[in-house]
Amino acid sequence: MEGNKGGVTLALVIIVVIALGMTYILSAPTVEGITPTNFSHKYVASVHLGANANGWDFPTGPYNFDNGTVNPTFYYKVGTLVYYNVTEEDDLPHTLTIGYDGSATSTIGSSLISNPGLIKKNPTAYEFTSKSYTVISTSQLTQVPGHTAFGKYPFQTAGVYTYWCTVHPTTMYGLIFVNATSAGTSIQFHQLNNSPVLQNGLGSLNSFNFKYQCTIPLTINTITGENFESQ
Amino acid sequence: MSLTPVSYQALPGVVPGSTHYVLEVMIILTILGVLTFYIYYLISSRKEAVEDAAKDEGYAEPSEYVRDKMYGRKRKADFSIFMYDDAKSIGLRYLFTGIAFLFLAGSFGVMMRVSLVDPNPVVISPVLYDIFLTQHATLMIYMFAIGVSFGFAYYLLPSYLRLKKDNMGTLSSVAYWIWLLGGALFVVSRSSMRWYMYPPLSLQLTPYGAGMANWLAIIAMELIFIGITMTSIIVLKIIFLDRADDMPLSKMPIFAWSIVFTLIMIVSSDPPLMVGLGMLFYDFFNPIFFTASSNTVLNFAILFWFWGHPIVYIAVLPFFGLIYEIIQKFTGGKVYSYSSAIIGMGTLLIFSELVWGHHLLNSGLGVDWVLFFTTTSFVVVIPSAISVFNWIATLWTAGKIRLSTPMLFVINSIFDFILGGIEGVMLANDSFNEIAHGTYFVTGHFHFIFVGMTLGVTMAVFYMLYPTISGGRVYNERLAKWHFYITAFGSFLMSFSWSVGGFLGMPRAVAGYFPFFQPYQDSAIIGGVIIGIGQLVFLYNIATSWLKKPVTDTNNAFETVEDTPAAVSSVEAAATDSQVVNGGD
Amino acid sequence: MSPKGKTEVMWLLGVAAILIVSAVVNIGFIDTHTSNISQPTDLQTVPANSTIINVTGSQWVWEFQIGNQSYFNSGNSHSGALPLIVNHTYTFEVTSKDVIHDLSIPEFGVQSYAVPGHENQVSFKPTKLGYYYFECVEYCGFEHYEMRGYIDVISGGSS
Repeated sequence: MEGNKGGVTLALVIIVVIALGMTYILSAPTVEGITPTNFSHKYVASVHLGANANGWDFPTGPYNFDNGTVNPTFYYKVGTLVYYNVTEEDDLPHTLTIGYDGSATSTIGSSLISNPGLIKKNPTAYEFTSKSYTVISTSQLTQVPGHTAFGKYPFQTAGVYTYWCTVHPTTMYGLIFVNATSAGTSIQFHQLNNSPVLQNGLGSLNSFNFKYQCTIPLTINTITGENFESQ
Repeated sequence: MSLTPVSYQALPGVVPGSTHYVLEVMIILTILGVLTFYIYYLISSRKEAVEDAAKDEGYAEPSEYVRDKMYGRKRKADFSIFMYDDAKSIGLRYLFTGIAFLFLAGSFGVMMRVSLVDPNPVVISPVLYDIFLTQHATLMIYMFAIGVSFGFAYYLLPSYLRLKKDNMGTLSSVAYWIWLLGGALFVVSRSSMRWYMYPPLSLQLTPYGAGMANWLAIIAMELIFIGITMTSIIVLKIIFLDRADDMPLSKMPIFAWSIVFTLIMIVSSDPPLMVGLGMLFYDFFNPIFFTASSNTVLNFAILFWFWGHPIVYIAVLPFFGLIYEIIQKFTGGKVYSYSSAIIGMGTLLIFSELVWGHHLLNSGLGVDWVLFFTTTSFVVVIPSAISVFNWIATLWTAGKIRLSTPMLFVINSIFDFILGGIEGVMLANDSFNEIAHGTYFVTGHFHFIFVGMTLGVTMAVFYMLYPTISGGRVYNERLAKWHFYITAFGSFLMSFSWSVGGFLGMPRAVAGYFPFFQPYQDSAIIGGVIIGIGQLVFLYNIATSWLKKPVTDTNNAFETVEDTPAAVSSVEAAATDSQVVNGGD
Repeated sequence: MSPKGKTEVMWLLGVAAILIVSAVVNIGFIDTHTSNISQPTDLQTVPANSTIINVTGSQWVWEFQIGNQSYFNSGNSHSGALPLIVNHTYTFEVTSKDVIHDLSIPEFGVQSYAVPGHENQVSFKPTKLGYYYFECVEYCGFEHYEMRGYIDVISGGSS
């Protein structure tokens, strides 16, 4: 820089540095790891859970799904948008919170796949709640038994997830396995009955008269499941 | 109650590209750094030409030839400062890099202020506020304050000490580039862990914790430390071994002493933190050092603040020395007491290593901790009192004081230092510390000193060096005075508003606040924006005055000291009259 | 000693006098208020007749446990404030579940870090009725600024 342009060059360099730095920082990701930023999906599923402090189960009442399973394990294919319907069964506050444990090949993930019984009691300490996503929060519940709240979550990353209630993390927790590939995957579900799913928020999914309910398998069987395409 | 230790693992981002993006930028920056080095070494085949010329002129050492003939006292600023390795070029390199980071970090600061107009974080996300907070503090301390300190040291010491040789250029250059790479990587990491990087938060690699690429920030901090430690050792060597033979330590200029003490503080205090950062980095993979289960979480804070207190003195001590030099220039006299100046700064060095625990008085480290560190924090005021007395006495007993812009900055810096110092004494009281720790009172305390002294004296020296840096031009004195008054007013408004708000308990490092703190935040926002406007006036002044033709010679007020025997003879040896900084309007 | 030296010594003696007075007052405060200073938990130094409140900081909420009742920080609103009884001594046992937090009640002069794996103890006695705010003043992440609330000092029956 010859002659008389020194000051102008300095000013320009500083302005460029500020512009670049500011743009770079302002474009930083501000969203939590598993918070969904889009709800793109290939498949849809729906779950109706009952929330009570003894554990997640299937609600009694008009939709009598209950078969005594507590804290069920769920299996989905990656790319599934799951609609959660949570019916309150006691008058206590609850949340439905999901945390990502790891991919199927990670230490935690693979150990949970081979032995789901290893799930840790009290996942809040286990799951570092700042890295989780609450699908249904306490503010959505009225603490009146029979009321149902809704949420949804797209499982876009394969691996092992834990779901739990942050108010009762020592009793209400369970696993969700999301599998990546189709061949040889271990998706296992069966349709329990043809009762309609509670509708709010499901819109065009009226035709899905299904409910998934899984039991915790002792061994993982190969696929028998069907994948429902979204409309 | 029993606590389960928490272990962390990196999560896949919802936007999986962002971590890769950071890695890519880091790799690109490193490649650019390596390429720059390659170009530099190509250019430095000028070395042989210089050696031949030196031999012709009868110099035994080519570096002495460079010092006297080529880049002696009149080193103008141009892009070659990044290529050549004489001390003055390196000094200008540090100076301009420091100023660039001042503006970058300053823009982050203004952004933070503006985002707080509403008690709720509606302007920007709290995550972004936290990133700005971390970047502003770290860049200001490590890149601006230390950068311009090194810049002034490299630039002024060759003349002040009449160096016999100047052969540390290559090593200094390497240290500079490592330091700069560290600073750049710190920005790339978009870390949000605050400048003191406490675990377990700094191990949370999420946007809600310390930033997804915080591991990169730790690496960047280590690079910065390697760079500044290398530079410190190099400059200590230059001062102690390369000084002119007829200059004993007891006759060294006060600025040189202030640099000596600063560098000793750097070298003696940063090893614990460098080790601590290494331990922190290891904890990302295998958490053993700072874990809740072994009750060792606070150990990092202890390692940090052992350095954390000296660093804040490091950021002001060179400016103590510069204030002495500037006062002497603008009063035509000598310092009130040379030995007091040295004793004041030297005892500050010693005591700064004894007060660092006052940053942890409420951490639950025990009552004895509180007793010891609050008492030493009172004792450390005495060296600062010596310096303040010395400055004021020098001014008091001077014949006349020429009140052009650099001198105004210096007077304001002393005033702000006294205010900030009084607030520091208040904080040393544990009863008050329990109220004010973690509030904006602390922020006001150190912004008085950092904006008043570090920024103010930097600008003063820059204005005084302007004729040399710009090749004989003068800045617009009216604009410079506007710069001063706007900065002084804005910084007082901002720091004082913070002090009042903090006195009432307004917490710091928050993206939102109780609505009843609104008045204090609002006036601080206005003050901060005013400071920003003042620095824009400075930029405008420099840009426009550099476009004009040179009207004076390239001397500057600092370097009218007795020069080397082989100095170029056009040097005006006259004292204050050769200060042409008052030219122009 | 030269006049210059004398002036300087006078100045330093004046400064030192102020500092010594401040330091002595400070030491006096510390010695008489050790229970108000945050220190590692030692149940033997809990003041007599004091109610223990277990405080747990986590990202990003404070939980106060009195007996088996839990209160959480109430944010900007007075409703949901932590009720304390006037002229009754309380001892906070402060710890954290995840990162370092810092509970600060400026109007009581109470401040204690909440460190995971480490429990701190600080006691105080509210002496006036009213609402008093508390905050987290150690940066702990994204919603650090939300960890604030109110304490409601009410007149109780017997303490």
